[in-house]
Amino acid sequence: MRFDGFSKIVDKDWIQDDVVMISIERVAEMGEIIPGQFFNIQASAAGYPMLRRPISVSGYDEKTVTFTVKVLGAGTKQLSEHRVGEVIKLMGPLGNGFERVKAKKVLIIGGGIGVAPMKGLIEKLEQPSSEIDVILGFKDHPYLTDSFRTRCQRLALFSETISGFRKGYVTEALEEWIKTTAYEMVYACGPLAMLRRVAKTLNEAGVPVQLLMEEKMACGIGACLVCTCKTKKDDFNFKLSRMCKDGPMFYGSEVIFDEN
Amino acid sequence: MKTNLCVDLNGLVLKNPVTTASGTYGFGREYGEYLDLSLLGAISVKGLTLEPREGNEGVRIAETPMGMINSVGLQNPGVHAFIEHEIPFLRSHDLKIIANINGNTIEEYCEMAQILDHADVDSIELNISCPNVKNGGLAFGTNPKVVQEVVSRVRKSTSKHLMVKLSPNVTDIKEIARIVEAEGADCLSLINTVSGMAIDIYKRRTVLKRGSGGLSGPAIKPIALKLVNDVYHTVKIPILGMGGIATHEDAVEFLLAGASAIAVGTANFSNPKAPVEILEGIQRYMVQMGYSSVTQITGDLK
Ligand SMILES: Cc1cc2nc3c(=O)[nH]c(=O)nc-3n(C[C@H](O)[C@H](O)[C@H](O)COP(=O)(O)OP(=O)(O)OC[C@H]3O[C@@H](n4cnc5c(N)ncnc54)[C@H](O)[C@@H]3O)c2cc1C
Ligand SMILES: Cc1cc2nc3c(=O)[nH]c(=O)nc-3n(C[C@H](O)[C@H](O)[C@H](O)COP(=O)(O)O)c2cc1C
Ligand code: FES
Repeated sequence: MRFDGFSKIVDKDWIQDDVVMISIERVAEMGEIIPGQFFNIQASAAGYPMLRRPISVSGYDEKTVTFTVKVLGAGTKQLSEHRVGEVIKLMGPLGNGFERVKAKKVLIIGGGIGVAPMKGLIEKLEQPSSEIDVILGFKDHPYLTDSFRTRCQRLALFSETISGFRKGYVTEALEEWIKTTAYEMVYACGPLAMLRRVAKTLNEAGVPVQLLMEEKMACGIGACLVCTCKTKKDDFNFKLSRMCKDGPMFYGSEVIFDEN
Repeated sequence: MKTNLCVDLNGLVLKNPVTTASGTYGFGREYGEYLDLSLLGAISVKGLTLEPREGNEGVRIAETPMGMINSVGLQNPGVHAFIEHEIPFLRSHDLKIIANINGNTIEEYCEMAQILDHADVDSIELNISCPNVKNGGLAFGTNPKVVQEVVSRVRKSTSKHLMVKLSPNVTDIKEIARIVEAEGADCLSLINTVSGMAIDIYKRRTVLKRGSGGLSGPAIKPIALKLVNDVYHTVKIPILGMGGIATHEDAVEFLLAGASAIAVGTANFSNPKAPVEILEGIQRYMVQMGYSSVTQITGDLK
């Protein structure tokens, strides 16, 4: 049986006005965890909002699992209001996480709250075999950057509004860097528009990229089919893969980004 | 006190009255990792079509107060793949298999019923009420003349236990229920989702690409309960009741309103153990209220 149950909050830390890190006890039944996987979490024991909220693993060790939550609406607000010592109900880890391939040159790209799972990833990428470059983009103040700074060769930080950081899109740094560096693997998570540009750039350059995609979910385990990702099927066709079960990690070469 | 949980839906005998609703449980595989499927009375599988379907593109869900609107649109591997790959898995558990079928035309419904007549399923659930497909679906379930024809012809296509799933999106569900009974259905299941809409006020567009979809979850429970009760007073064939059931109290309400068994749908999403918790709760309720058989609860309203 897979894990669906309760776990106690052991630590909580507001790192921005609207971003909170929550660590819970790692329960044995959770089993192995892979960066890029997520948990489907009940926002409130009161049962409203009704559906659980998918939140990526943004770090883990033997004893704890850490989430980084950006408060957007009712669900994430309620999640953020739990106190240390309280228990939350959750199931996971769920989905296909990142494939951590052995590669000399690796690039990590994170945008907005999409940096949360990338923190979990860089902490578990085998250091000795890889040189890691990182590009992170934010609307306002950058956060979670220390975890990356201590583990990477090169770090580019973008912010749309805060001075002292690069302005513009993370893809600008990407386009510069791939000219001079032969990345063997790129990992990315962020807003859809960012992932679309990243995938386009890297597909054209022939560099493999693992994208962590996002879609509104219900069951989180592949049963209800409300979360889809349009992916390629042979040369001409497409199929609608389940974001939660077949993803959330998809290779950039598999995904079809429709213009909406 | 020993409680007897067995129910007979007019030929479909379930070891207990708790089933899972079509489209919310896939073919059981995913939820089988969270509970022992053999604890369920039956699984109604994801709506099947003759050919495989990819379903609707674009956003498929809008969450609403205590509910959700879905626009999945019958994504399924087709009836043949179901028979080949899913029945053996389901059969390895102690439960009844209900095959939910959907057609574009009456002929398609009949062809599927004929195919399933030779397959190892325990019941065919004729879905004439799916709101998420362009042609057919709801159109079948809301027009009394069409209901009569489709049920009558599907009845002639199979000797399997036949259940017909009713839509709440009709003016008079009693009329439809009467026709379905008269045409030889063994059992009724209700309700399917309620037509609903959600709008993104900043994009000034409907959240779902198709405009509307099917509302499910606790938000529709009072509607479902009333319709089950109406139908209970109209027909003699048994009712598989559903619509917003999330707790054993909800389930007992449906039994009291006239359902012989119940289905858990959307509640699985927020609580994968809901069916088991509901079954345990029904047993506690029976002991507390002095019912020895779950069949005694059906319609036992003072
Ligand atoms: C696999 C996966 C991993 C995720 N990991 C994290 C994480 O680590 N940290 C984190 O803070 N968030 C994460 N999210 C997003 C998070 O689940 C949503 O922000 C949350 O469900 C919103 O719930 P709410 O009730 O607060 O807001 P709602 O009231 O549901 O929505 C508020 C606003 O956000 C939009 N929205 C809601 N859900 C999504 C979504 N999934 N994608 C895009 N827009 C959405 C709504 O349309 C609305 O405009 C993840 C999502 C997925 C699918
Ligand atoms: C995501 C989803 C998919 C569904 N797919 C089907 C289907 O394929 N066939 C069908 O007869 N009903 C389908 N339904 C309707 C349910 O079986 C059930 O009738 C309805 O959701 C009401 O019950 P609930 O409120 O407990 O979910 C679906 C419901 C949901 C939420
Ligand atoms: S959320 Fe149910 S299939 Fe992905």
